[in-house]
Amino acid sequence: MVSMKHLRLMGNITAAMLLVFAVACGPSLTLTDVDYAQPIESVASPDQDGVVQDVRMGVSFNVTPLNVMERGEGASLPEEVRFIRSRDGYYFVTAPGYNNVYVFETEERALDLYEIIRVSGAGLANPAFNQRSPYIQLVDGDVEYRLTKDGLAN
Amino acid sequence: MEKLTIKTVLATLLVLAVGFSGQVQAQFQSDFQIKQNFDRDHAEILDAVKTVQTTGEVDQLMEDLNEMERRYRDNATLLNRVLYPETVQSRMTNLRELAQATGARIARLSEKGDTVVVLEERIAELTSDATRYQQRADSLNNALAAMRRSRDANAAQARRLRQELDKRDAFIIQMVDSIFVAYENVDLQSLSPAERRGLVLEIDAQNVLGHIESVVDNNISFLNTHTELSTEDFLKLYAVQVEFNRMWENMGHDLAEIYVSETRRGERLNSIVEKVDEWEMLIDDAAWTTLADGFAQNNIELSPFRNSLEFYTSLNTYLDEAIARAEDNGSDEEVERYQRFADFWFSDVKPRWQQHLIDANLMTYENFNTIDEKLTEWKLQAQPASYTWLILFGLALLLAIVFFALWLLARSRK
Repeated sequence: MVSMKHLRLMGNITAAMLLVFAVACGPSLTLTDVDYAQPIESVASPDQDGVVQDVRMGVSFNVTPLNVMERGEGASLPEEVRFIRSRDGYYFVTAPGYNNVYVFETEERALDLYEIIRVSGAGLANPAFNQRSPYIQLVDGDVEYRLTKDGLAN
Repeated sequence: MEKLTIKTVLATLLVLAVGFSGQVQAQFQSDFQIKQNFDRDHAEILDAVKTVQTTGEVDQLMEDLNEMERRYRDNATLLNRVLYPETVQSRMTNLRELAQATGARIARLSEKGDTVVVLEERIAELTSDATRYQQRADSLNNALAAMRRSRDANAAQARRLRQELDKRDAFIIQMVDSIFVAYENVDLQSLSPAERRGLVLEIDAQNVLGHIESVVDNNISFLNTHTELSTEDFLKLYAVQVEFNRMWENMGHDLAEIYVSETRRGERLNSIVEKVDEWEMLIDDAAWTTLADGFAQNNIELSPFRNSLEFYTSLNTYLDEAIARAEDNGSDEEVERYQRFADFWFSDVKPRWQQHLIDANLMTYENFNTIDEKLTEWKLQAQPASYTWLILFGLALLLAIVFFALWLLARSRK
């Protein structure tokens, strides 16, 4: 037979456990409806180390591993690299001569490859990204591709 | 008729083909390229604004601006985001205002001629600097007023603040000088009544007379309240006044000519003239009084003087009398009198006052040379009569007696 005294004791113990759990997890807050969309693509030339940067957007990264993946070891770096950040926060990267668009998600001081989207067999001639939320538009001459982080949308 | 139809069909197809390809290109234009194009067009128009020469070119520029605005209207949202915190509208407005200002300047040049427009611009430019100096002068005057109330007030502080005010006065004088140097290039007689009126309004708008009057007012106020300064300080102020007078005499005629038929402004000019006279009287009085005191304190009794000619005459008279006196009777007392004057002259007057006296046109280098020469003469004459020749004569006589005695002795032995 459980008395009221026991019930009160169990209630106090449960409350104390919840308090300890909450304190152990640290502060928790989530801001929603974030729009990371970069209004206009960045066009940057890699430096001798392969680093591209957009001072205005405050971002820089090394494209050498990307170039190795696209063209193989020892291949020269492209003249220019074009990249844009989507509304969801993914970076879309490509360059003239590339067959693919590389989609990256952001990590702490890193970009992790999320998806490779094949858009050309002979290499893009004059690619350019446009922000067309919820898509990223890739134009190359008179050809248009609508991209999401998971691939071609059309 | 058949040929014409084929030609028409071909032409139509060509137009359609061109139109279609244009549409395709426009459909897939890069946003980045749009931004690049906008920046390039903006830079081109900005360059054109800088080099435009005629009102016709300005009109063409305004038309180009309208066309540019139409061209980018559909991309305004994109451009506003990438131009942030500017907008397409703000960029276009800036260009329009620049073009309009340039157009207005070209129009003024064609109406008034280069010189008058440049003159007006010079007045505006210098006046903005003068206003800055005026604000500084106001704060210095407040500091001076506070210092006068303070028991710790001393001449050194007043002198330091005065130096600051001097800089500002020198600037105003330079400014007004500069304006009227420019006026010298304008044939005032040849100006139309409207042009003349325009210049008058410009001078009024930029408060040129106000700045000039403030220099005079500040100096009068300073001289009325600071009698503790040294002779050197007053001589410096004298030089400022002389420089101001030179400038004022140069411009007074021009101003009178510009303001001819302007009763109210004529009265304002007369008021400034009266103040300039008061300033001159005050500095004259202060400078000569302290200068006379300086000599008196060193026990040099010059005859009274109230102007530069009397001062120079007084100095010469004093030295001429001293030289005449020394010629008659050089003595230790005369040497001491000379030394007193020379010490004061070479330790105080020349190192500390000479340049200011010359700057203020009170004396010349030749005047100083004359005084220096007279001092040398006085020094020579002031020496007491020399006894050396008597001693030499005595020695020679003694030797002659000794030789004579020896000769007599030798002769007696024979």
